[in-house]
Amino acid sequence: MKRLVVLLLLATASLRASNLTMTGGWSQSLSAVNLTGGAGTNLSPSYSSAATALTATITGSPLTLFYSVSAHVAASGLPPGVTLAVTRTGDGTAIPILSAVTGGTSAVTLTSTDTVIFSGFLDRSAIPLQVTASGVSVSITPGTYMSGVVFTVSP
Amino acid sequence: MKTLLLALVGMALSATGAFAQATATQTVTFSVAAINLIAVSGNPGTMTVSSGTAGSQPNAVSDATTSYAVTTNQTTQKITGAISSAMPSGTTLAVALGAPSGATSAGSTTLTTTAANLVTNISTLASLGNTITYNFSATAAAGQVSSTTRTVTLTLTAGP
Repeated sequence: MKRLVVLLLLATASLRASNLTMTGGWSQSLSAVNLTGGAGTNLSPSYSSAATALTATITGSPLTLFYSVSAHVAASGLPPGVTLAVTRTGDGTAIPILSAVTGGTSAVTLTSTDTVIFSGFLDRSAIPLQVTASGVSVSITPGTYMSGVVFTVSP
Repeated sequence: MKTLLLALVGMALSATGAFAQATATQTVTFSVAAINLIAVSGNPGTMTVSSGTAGSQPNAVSDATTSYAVTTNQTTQKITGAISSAMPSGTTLAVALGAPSGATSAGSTTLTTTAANLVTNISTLASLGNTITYNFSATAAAGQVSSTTRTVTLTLTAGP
């Protein structure tokens, strides 16, 4: 009977909805000062946000056990050829002391479908994320471009 | 125990239908300003007309020691050229700019105080080392002309 109770607890936990809170954002402005060497040179091909531009907090304790956080680009208004990637630049703060996160320390390129960025165990707050845009050049005509990035926590 | 078990089963079942994912959306914003830059590598050397053939006008001289670089993220741009003040009577300063990829050079063009098109059809490029060739000529009627300088202004501007 005890085993059954434990199993039910785990099942309940794994099925319980976790909460994902994202904070921060990233805005990048490019102009002539961003040319690699003045007139005749191009823009750098990639630009990154601050290492802690975004933070993710996953809660649901005590019933959040294992989870993964994925992301995809939604309604991309980015210029053609520009792609986004996300890198986990830190571990954040453990809420229960035993919590942990793994993966995502190398840039994960985002597409229009979900890609797992990192996985975790138990609640964790302020996991820092960095966004990188690649494929930038002067072939991008002047304007403002926006894209949504949808983060999802799943059991 | 049975009550606890039922409660847990109930929790599990209720959670089964409810769960599963939570999402949050962030917005990434890119702003790209107009970029239009042109620069030259330096000044050409002194051009002196000092030779000729009997019965002909003096020989023109040329200088192709400099180049220009251009970057633009806009379409339909052109480079114009003008000099700061008129040339002495009987003398002519012309310039030919090599065209970056996809653009069109006007060839050797006499410079005046009015801007003239030198390269047209420039669109979204970053190009280094494009040639600048100056040609200075003087007629016999110009006589001896004291050394003088002119500032040549190259402008990257909108236009076909």
